[in-house]
Amino acid sequence: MRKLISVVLIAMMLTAYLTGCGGDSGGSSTEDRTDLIYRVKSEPPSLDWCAVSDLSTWSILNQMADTLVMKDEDGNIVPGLAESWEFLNDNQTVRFKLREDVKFHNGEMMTADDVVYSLNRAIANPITVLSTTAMKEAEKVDDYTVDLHLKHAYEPILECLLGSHTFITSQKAVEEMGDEAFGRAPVYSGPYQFESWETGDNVVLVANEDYWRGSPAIKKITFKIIPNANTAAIALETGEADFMEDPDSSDRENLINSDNLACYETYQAGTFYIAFNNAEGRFADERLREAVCLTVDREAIVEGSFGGNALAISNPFPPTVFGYDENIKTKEQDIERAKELVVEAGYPDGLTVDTYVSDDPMYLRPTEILQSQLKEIGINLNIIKQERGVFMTQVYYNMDYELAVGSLIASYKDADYEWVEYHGSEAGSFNYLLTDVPEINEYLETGRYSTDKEVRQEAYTNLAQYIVDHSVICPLFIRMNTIICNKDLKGVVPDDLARYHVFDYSW
Amino acid sequence: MLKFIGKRLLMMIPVLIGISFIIFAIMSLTPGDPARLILGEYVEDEAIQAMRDELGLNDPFFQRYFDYMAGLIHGDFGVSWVSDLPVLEEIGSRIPTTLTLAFIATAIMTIVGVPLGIVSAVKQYSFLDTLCVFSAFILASVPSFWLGLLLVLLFSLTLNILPATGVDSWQNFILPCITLASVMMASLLRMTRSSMLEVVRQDYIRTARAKGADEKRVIFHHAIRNALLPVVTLVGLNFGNLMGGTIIIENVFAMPGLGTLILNSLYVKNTPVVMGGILFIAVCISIVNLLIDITYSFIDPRVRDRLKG
Repeated sequence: MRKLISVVLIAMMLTAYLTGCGGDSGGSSTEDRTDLIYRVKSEPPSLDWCAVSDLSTWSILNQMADTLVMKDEDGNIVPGLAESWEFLNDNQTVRFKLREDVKFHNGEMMTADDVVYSLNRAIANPITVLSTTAMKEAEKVDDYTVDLHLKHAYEPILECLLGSHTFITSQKAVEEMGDEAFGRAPVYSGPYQFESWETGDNVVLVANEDYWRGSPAIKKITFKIIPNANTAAIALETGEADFMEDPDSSDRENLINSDNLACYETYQAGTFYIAFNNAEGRFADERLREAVCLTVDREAIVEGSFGGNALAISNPFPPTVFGYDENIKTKEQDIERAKELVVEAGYPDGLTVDTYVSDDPMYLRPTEILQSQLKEIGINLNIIKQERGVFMTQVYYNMDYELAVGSLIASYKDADYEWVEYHGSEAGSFNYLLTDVPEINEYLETGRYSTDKEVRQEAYTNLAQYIVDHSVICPLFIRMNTIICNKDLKGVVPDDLARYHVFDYSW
Repeated sequence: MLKFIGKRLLMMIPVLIGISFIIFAIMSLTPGDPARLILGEYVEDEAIQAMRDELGLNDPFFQRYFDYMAGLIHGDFGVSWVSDLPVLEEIGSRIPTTLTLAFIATAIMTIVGVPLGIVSAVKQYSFLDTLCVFSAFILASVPSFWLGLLLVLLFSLTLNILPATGVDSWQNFILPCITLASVMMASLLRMTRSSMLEVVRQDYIRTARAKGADEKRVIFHHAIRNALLPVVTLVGLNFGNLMGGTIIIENVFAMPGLGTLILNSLYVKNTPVVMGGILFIAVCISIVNLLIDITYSFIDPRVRDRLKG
């Protein structure tokens, strides 16, 4: 029997070995390669830029679609589909002069009609509201000139036009195909065009040889859908995938130490913080909020939650957005004062707080550490773990909470993105902190409506100072945007908004 | 026999109605607004309300359920709330992967588990028996996702002889099928062993031996047929568990099957897809159980006689 088992095992291994499966080893030569296997976490619901708001889909769309303006290596805004632009009408209109050599994937040439159609479609769409909030209407001037009319002068307008919400597409393609069919096989003008979509398995794009910036070095991208982070990490190590964003923090160390892989990281343009319900419940009392802020040990949270691979912060804004002022800092840790504040607020015996948290480790681990820290001042967090969707409904939409770990990632790199979180007009809508404070509203309005950089910077400095002084939130940390990829892949640059362009890569 | 099959098929109808009601109730009454989950975090309230109207979420629960069932009776499984594709199309594209996984795993489980169980019983207390029982004990205690990851670490990462993800070729199915089969194989092995041990102690086996039948004939002709009845039941039950187990295995091995579809749809409360997927699995399990009942009649003449009667 033992002989039989040995023979069967050897035969199985030989068969598998001789059939040569297992994909390209990460260690094999990549010189002749012209393809890239890019891991995405989930299946795109659609490839129509107006129908989606998830990161996996944006990873795909960033390769297929172009915007009017782009960023260069140094972060400067440079011409994209628009050759040039000028501000008219007291900065309430931006006039774009379009390139005349841009061809869509269906062979049609891009004209002003396509740009007007794409921008107006985005403006009318509720999903793109964060980026199009200041836009009123796009209007054709001539075949290659477009006016974008704004509701008011708006300094970050070009930043807003960089994002995935303002991609330009062929009007004819959308109208002829219909929204649904367009979402399954879209037509854009970017360096890669749609090739195929195997539901649940992969989306394949191939190089657009007529691309106006030249043909890309990598000719084919396969977006492989691998939901499980551990499996994705193994796929990277075995060479079944070449590129992944955001590995699980437990896999990160192993992946970095792998001989075949490289790691690129930068801090995210967004913050994680303790959100308080500022209007209802016990944390409407500023003394309790301050007590929490005086107790939190951010370094311990970063170390315990992410093995140190995050940045502990004491400023409410991330450093890479306009409006950040490095001089603004929360108060130093002071446990004794925190204990006094809890007593002053009327809780000499301490208090128990039901704390909802999403089952995502990004939120769960920091909340658990926070639980142990706040115990010291008599605040007992009763952690109620919820599936992400349930958590969002409970905290973000119903605002039925007192304290929770939340996050806000910038959709454009200007502190104006904080409007939705703090402005009184958004209270009960996007503003789940329920702040409606005249000072905060005034600073945000100055930042939004002024076009003077210094005035805007001062307004955002004041806003950050107010948030810190009144413990509106308690800043905790900034996560890393991490890329793990095959070490032979050249041209990879990390990005704080996680916008990656395979066009710049080569083997 | 035909009457029996017809009766069993008719019995499936109330079972499926019951399952559909339970799943629909769970999807509708648990917290989380599908419109919010599908559209994302930063979407205006008007858009959410428009989507709720479009999906019929503002209608009363029973009206929604009866509307859904009315569609189902006409063969309309609805449209995915996320991709706008017909549910049948979405499920149809995933079925081959899941059924391939479930059938191959059932085959491996039966082909390996039953003979080992028999050998284990026949050679009771031998080294082989101890090895089999011990292995079964270990396999039954191991969570399938963990076993899957271990196999991937060994065969994909260390030896680099089998792929870890995808469904590109038959080799992609080796590790997931072994993982699925291993966990279920343990219960089958133990059941076969105990069933055989019980049968070989029966009087008629002793009689057969006393009449001079050789051991092979005693085991393969007299004992196995009787010992197999509970084993066949277990194969049927395990098939049902396997269909459920594919949800985890497909996720671990990144396979585009029904399991990953149902799981991802659950996250956003995509009710039509979840309903369609689970009803399909329920139908599969019901049919397999029916087949198992029919198989009884071939193994045990007494059952056949009862069915005829």
